[in-house]
Amino acid sequence: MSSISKETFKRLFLLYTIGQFKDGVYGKLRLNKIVYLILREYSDLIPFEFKHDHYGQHSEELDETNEQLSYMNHTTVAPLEAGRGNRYTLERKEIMEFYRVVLGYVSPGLRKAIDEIVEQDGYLSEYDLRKKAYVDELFLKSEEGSILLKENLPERITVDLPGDDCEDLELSLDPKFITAMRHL
Amino acid sequence: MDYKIIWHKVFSYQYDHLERNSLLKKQVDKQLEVIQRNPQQAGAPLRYLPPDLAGKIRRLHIGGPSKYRMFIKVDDKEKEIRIGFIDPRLKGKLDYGDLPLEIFTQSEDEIDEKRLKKFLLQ
Repeated sequence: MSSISKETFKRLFLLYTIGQFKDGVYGKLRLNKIVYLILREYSDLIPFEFKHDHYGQHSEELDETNEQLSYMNHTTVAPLEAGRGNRYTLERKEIMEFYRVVLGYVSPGLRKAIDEIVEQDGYLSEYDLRKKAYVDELFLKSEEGSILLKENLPERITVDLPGDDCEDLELSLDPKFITAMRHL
Repeated sequence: MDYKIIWHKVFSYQYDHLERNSLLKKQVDKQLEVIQRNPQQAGAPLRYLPPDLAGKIRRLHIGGPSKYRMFIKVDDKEKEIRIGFIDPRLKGKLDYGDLPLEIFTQSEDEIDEKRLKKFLLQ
């Protein structure tokens, strides 16, 4: 039995969520709203803190993690044709099955929530997606600036995988290691 | 296999500080021999890497699978192998906060010894 760090888990969670979209995620707002809906559906493990801010439900940490993924070339960022925002797609789709297995070991419930919410709400128009997110009870009762969801991951997360699998996953999702190897 | 082998300053520093005739030095020398003889057989490629690094980064064990890990970069197109570093943390003790990996983004002339010392093998 091995473990992965919570930072690795956050990146894995986001990569898997992005990878579940058939044609990538259209815009940061969509990614934030979908992840929020996932975590409202399944709240045992919360990888990112969400606040009620100017954009509604929003997570700065999610945005940072998303930037790290594109910086490491795990995702591709392309400007949307409409001119507003970017489309995020997974670079190596073939790794999705492994991400799926790891997520399943950590939390089958969370993985199920990702699969269902992306399928159900991931392709709504931005207007309908906002509408859906804004009728959330927790959001309606909150004030701008308040915390809606608190990150609650343990420092290390146990995964039922061989040590080398966990280590490869950790290294492949570590921005410091990736940057070092790129410069080597 | 005629690959050009280049040692990064970090690895050179680590190697220069290995105790003469120690078991650890012998194990490192053995792996260096393997790298020289057949780079494709040296260690195993890291998996799940982004596309530009996929297949290029290999991990070798020093002192058996439960001890140290050595990282090298193999560029088959350029016929070049770069010896990066031996992770001074024992396997299973991954903690990304404490090792100054940003050293690899510096030009080798600018690397100071204070940082290099963090890579010394215990």
